[in-house]
Amino acid sequence: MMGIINRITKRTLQGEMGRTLLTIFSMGIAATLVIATLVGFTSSQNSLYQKQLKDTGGMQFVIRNVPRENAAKLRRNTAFQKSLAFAELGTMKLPKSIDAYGDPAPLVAMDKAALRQLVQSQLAVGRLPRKSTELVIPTDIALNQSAIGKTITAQTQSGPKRFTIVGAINSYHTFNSAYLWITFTNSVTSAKTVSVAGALTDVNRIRSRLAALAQQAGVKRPKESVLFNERALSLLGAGTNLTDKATIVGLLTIILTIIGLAAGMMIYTSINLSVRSRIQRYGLLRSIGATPKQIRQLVYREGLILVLPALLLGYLAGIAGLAGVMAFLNQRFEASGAGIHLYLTMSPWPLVGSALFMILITFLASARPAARASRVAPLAAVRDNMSTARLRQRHLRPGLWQRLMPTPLSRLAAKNYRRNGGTRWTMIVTLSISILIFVGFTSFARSVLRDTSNDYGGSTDIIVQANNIAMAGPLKQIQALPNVKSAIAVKHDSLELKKRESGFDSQSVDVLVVPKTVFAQYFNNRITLLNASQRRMNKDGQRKLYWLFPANFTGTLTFAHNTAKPITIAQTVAADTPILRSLANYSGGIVISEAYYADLFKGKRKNPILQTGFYILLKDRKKHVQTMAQLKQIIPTSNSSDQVANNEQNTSILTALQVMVYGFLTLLSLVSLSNIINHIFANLLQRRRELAMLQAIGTTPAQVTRMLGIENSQLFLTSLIWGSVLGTALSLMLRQQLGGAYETAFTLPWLEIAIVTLVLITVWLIFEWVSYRMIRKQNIDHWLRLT
Amino acid sequence: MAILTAQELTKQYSGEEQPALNHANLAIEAGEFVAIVGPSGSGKSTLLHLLGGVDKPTSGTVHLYDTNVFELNETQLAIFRRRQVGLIYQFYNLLPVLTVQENITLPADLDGRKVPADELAELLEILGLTDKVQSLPSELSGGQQQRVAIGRALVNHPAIVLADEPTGNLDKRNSQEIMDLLRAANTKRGQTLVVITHDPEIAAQADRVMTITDGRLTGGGDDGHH
Repeated sequence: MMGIINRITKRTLQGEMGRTLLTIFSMGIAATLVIATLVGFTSSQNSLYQKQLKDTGGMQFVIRNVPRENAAKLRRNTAFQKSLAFAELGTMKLPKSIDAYGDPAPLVAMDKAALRQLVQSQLAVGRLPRKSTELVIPTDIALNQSAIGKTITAQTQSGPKRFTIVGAINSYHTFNSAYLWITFTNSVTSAKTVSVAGALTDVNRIRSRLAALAQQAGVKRPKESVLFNERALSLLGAGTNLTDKATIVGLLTIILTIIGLAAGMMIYTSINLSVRSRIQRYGLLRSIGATPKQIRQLVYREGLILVLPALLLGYLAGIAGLAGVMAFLNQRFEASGAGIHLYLTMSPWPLVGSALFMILITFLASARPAARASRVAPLAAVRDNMSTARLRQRHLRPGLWQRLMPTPLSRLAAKNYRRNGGTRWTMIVTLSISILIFVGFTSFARSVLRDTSNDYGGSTDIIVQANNIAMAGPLKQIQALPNVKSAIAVKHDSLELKKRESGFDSQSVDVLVVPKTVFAQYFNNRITLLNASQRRMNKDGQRKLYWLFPANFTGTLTFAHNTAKPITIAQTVAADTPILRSLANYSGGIVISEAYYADLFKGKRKNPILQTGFYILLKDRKKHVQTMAQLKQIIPTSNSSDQVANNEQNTSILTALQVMVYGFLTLLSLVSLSNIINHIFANLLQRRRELAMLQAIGTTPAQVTRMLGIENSQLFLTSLIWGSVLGTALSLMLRQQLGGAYETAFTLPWLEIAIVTLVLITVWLIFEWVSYRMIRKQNIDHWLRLT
Repeated sequence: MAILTAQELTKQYSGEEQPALNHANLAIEAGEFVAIVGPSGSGKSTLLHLLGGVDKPTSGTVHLYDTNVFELNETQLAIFRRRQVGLIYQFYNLLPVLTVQENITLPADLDGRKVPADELAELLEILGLTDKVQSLPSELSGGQQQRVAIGRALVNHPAIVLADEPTGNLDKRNSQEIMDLLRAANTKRGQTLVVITHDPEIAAQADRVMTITDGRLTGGGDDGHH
């Protein structure tokens, strides 16, 4: 019995090869979208995980307090992909001159291999320890106290010990060496207990498995002794943070819902049109004894037969496309030194999942047409093949379009359009939703990406920060570097005004202390109020440039608590060049010379220790790496920020985002577009007999084509209006949801509406051309005789 | 013994003043060949569709043996049509994507039953389609297509074959060939046959002729006109 249903389905599809191929192609685009999204999602997740892992020493976890005699056996466990060990030397206290809080922190000793693997990537300043008397400490302590190079006596568990601090590690994104004092050892197992850092081949149930392994290895309190690289693991969905997991699942659900909606509509349209064109056949099958269930199976079978080659197409196009995009992006990342590499990850679940998803969508989309087909009465076998819409009296009254039409043929077109009830609404709804998705999501994505790109750039090329060092000497050396175009130095302090001045954004104001050369060159030796601007959202949701001080303020400012002498502002200067913008650092302030600052407090307050910043513009940005190295030589204890590299990285990440987002939207739009094309052409093929009849009574092919054109323009125009209005509303809604995060201002999506209009006009013209050719060549007699 | 009986069968289409079929009563004996004649629009096809369970009446009953056809649910009705009724249409109504053999065996296939090879060969022989088994309907003449439709109607050995103007679309020679085939099925296989026609020559070949005018049936067999 299934055999005959398969045969009928297959041969029907073969008999309508043109339409079948178009449907497979459309479904193939939908499958490409699903596969590219799921594989792309997994690949991005894996790539970010790899990057995170690389930045944190390449390990997923650290098991602490492992008795040294068990460490080797633990590391030999087959579940470990890689591992290394380091010695635990108990806790240690630094002298107050280095660590004001003086909290005891764990001291560990690593061999050369462990230092390279775990610490090298996080080294911010200085070098790795090479002796057991050398120490690396976290940056927040090292930089605050300019500790690098100092020799200290620390209280270790085996008594006081002298160390030379040789480097500092970033302590904000690590899990294994954060807040550790790290020294060198040749023999890791000289300590009673060791820490084992490692990564598993399979992260499934990583927590319980590691707790068990730790217990086996004789670790007391195994659960507390295992530290996880949470940020890396959360990227693989193995984190403990439920919000992260929910975000990933939520995002995927939203994306799949959108794709499912577009693909489902497309498949529904296609199957529904098939069903409508085969009413008589279903009637015949029913009349000779096919049960409703068998008819339903026939329709489902058709959907499933179509989805299989579509999936194959989707696998090929999706994976090849993704590989191409990733290769392109990797090239960009490499050129910009972004330190990101995208890996095409072919794990089974996205591959199987996308197939199941497409099959599910096909099944769901076929359900209604299948039910409709199963309800076809056996009597339909002897009725005219042309389905007649159920018309109500109101459909027979002339509508607005009909009244506006000037010729009999155009009025006939309006009647056809109005009296085509269900079909018309299916098409309007389908087309409107397609336009809504395109206009809504594209305009939203465009504005978010535009705003993100606006946030990059606009400052100096390199920023060097160090603690309380003299400015004049290093600045002179920096300015003398061959690739430096201009450079300034500044120390930031902050003071509270006695009262908030009119037009001032805040009662506290920054004091920008600059060397006398800078004071002379940029401010003519005049005490200046440097006015900074910020982008802020106004009450109407418009994103406007907002200045923190009045444009032309002059006068005397008095400070609270009488801490400093009053300062008379001689001029206000807008921070509108990269150098001044960097100097203002988004908050602006009073610019004074070092000499003036030294005199400012006059015994009322001890001059505080201020951080020194050097802001540098380069002649040739391409040579930023060399200049960075030269700067490191001038100020070895500095913490430098390479804005050129940052901008390049941001730009390449932005490009990646744009490629992904626009690629997704393009595929989504293509699915919708093929849906429309499928719809209007299937409708044309279904009406061939009616069109032949019009020709038989003396209508020319051009007139028939024009009639069809008018019908389509009514459909397109109505859908365009609905889709654009709802799409704009969707864009606005999304923006309001994320407005706070992105500070995006709302603009009407004219560009998207224009693109949709252009595409619809193109489709309309192609339809006119194809239908004219078809009608001109068709054998009227053949179609009129056909039952 | 009557295998098919209809009592007070009425069909009223919405929006129509007169019923298409008005309290029709009939009884058809096993192995009988009945012709129903009447002018266009008199209700012939409506009666045939009601007898075959293809359409449902406004009132009245149709019994095949002891089964009240309209008490069956959709699936039971489909199985009833598949096994007990053979339908032949004026315009053949074959599936264009199936071959001659596949079209003929379609009701059996839908029933999950395989037609024995010798039985199929005999049927094809009778129909004169032995050399056309792999042809598609589009490759056949009108007469050949109607023979395929007859084969499809006979393949499941139904209790009754209902033919709606089976020769209406054929020339005289082909018409006679088709009637010969139906007649042979009736005489040689004992197939009960109801044929709708407006051709007096075809009606004359039947055992009994019923007339239908404006939805009223005369000669139905249970009103003394047999």
